[in-house]
Amino acid sequence: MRKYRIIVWALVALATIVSCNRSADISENARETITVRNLGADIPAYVYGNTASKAFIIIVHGGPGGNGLEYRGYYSKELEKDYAVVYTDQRGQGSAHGHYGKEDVTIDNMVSDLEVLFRALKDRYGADASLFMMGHSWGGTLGSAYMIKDDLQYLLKGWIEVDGAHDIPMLNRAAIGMYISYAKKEIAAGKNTDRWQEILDFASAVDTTKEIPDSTGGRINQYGHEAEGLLDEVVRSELSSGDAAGLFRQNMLTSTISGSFTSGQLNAEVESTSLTDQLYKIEIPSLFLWGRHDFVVPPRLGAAGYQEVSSTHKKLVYFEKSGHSPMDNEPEKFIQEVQSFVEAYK
Amino acid sequence: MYRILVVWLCCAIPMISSAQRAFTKPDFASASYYGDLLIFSGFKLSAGWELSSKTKARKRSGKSVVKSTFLVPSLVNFGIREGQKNWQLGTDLERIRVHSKGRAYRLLQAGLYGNWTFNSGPTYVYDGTDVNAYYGTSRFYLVPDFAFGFGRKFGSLSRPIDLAAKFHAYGKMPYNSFFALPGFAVELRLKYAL
Repeated sequence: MRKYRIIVWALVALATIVSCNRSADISENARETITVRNLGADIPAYVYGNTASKAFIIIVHGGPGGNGLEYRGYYSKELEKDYAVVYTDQRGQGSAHGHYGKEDVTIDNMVSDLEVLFRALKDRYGADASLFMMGHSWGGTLGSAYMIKDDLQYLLKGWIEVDGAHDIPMLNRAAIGMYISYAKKEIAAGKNTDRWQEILDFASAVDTTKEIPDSTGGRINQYGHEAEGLLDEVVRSELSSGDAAGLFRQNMLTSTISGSFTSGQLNAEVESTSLTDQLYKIEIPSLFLWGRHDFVVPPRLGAAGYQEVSSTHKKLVYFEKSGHSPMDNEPEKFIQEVQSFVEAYK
Repeated sequence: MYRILVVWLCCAIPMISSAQRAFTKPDFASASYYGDLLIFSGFKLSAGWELSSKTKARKRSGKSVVKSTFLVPSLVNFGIREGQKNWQLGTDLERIRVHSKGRAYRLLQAGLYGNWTFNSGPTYVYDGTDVNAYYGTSRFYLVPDFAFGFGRKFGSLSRPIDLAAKFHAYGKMPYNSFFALPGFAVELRLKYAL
C-alpha cells in the first residue's frame, strides 16, 4: 500500500508541475496553440515564430472550407523568423468544433470570432502586441467584413488583403470579362485551344447585366483555377512546394468534411456579399497584394479596394507572374512587401 | 479537467486492484493502439465479460464453431500531435466467432461512447469587456462506434493471449452545425485472458 501512495504522490506532483506551465511562449521560435470559445464554437489558432517581436500576422484562410495550417509554407516560415504568424481555423472549418445551429454559421458570427481571437492574442502576448490581419481569397471577404464593423479595425495595426473576395457580384462580372479577353488571346496564339474555347463558350453565355446565379458563380470559381493553370505567365515557384509535414498536424478528413458542410451552409450569404461600398470605413494602414492573372478573384477587386479605403497609408501591389496565390507564385517579392508593411506600422 | 482526470485515473488504478477481489473478475483485459497510423494516435484499455457463448458443430467438416458475445467497457485516449486531445469512455458489445480447433477468429462490435474533446492550450472566452483564459476546457460528444476485425490466439491454453486488428467507423455527434462528423480508426489489440 505504501508503494502505491508514493506513486500517487509522485504523479500528483508531476501533474502540478506540468499544469503550472501556463505562461505564453515568448521567444524567437514559439510554437503553441490557443483556442477561442465563442457563440458555440471552439476555434484553434496555431501560433508559430517570433513572438518576442510582438508583431503578429494573423492569416485568415480561404475557402470557405479551408483551414489555417494549410497556409503554412515557405513564405510564412520566412515571416516567422521576424514575426509571429498565427494560423487560425474558422467556425466549422479545420479543427474548429462545437455545438451550434445552422443559423449560427454567418459572416457576422465569424467576424465576432475574429474579434475574440485578436483580444485573446493581446491578453496573452501583451496589450502592446501589434496585430496585422492577412486575409486571402474568402479570408479577404471575412477580413473586409471585420474591418467595416464598428470600431473593430482599431484592434489592428494593419490590414493585408491578398486576392481577397470582398465583392462577389463584382468578382463574377470581372472574371467573365477576364475569361473572354484571355481566351481570345490564347486561342489566337494557338495555346490550349480546346480548353480555352470551352471557357470562352461558357463565359460568353453568361449575361453579366443580370444577377449571376449561385450555380454559375461556382463554375466561374472552378474555371478560374483551371484557367490559371493554362497560362505560361504564371510561375510555379519551387520554393513553395508545400509543407508535407503540415499534412499530419491536423486531421485532414475532419477538416475536409467539416469545411464542406460549412461551405455549403455559407454559400448563399457569400455569393451575395458586396462590401466595396463600405470599404470607405477603413482607416488603418492597408496593403493590397494581387496576382495579375487571378481569375478566381480578379485584380479589379484589388483596385476597387485600394481606391475605396480611407486609409492615409495604403498600397496596391500587383504580382506580374502570379495568379490567385502570389505567396506561392512569387514568394520572395511577397515576403518583401509584407515585411516592409509590418516594419512601417508595427 | 484533463489533468484532473489523469490524476484521478492514476489514483484509481491501485484501488481497482484491491476492489477487484469483491467483484466477479472479467474474462479478459486488453490494451490497444488506437489511431489512424498517420495523424492521430492513442491507446485503449478494455476489459471483457462474456455474456453468452454457443458452440455449433458443422455437419460436413465435423469442426465446431464457437460464437461468444462479450460486454467490453473501454477507456480510450487519442489526440493529434498539435491538436485536440480526446478521452472517450463507453461500452461495446463484441461478437467473436472462433473455430474450436483453430486459433484464428473474426469479430464484429458495436458500441456507444461519451467523448470529451479537450482544447489545446488555453481557451479564451470574451465576456463583453474582458477575455478570460481557461485551461483544460472540453466539449462533450456522443460517439456511436462500429468495428470489424480479425484476431489470432497465442500462448498456452490456460493463459492465452491474442492479437487482433480492428477497423472502426464512428460518428461524433452533434458536431458543429451538422449532425455527425464521421471518422475512421485502426485498433491493434493485445488481449490477455484472465
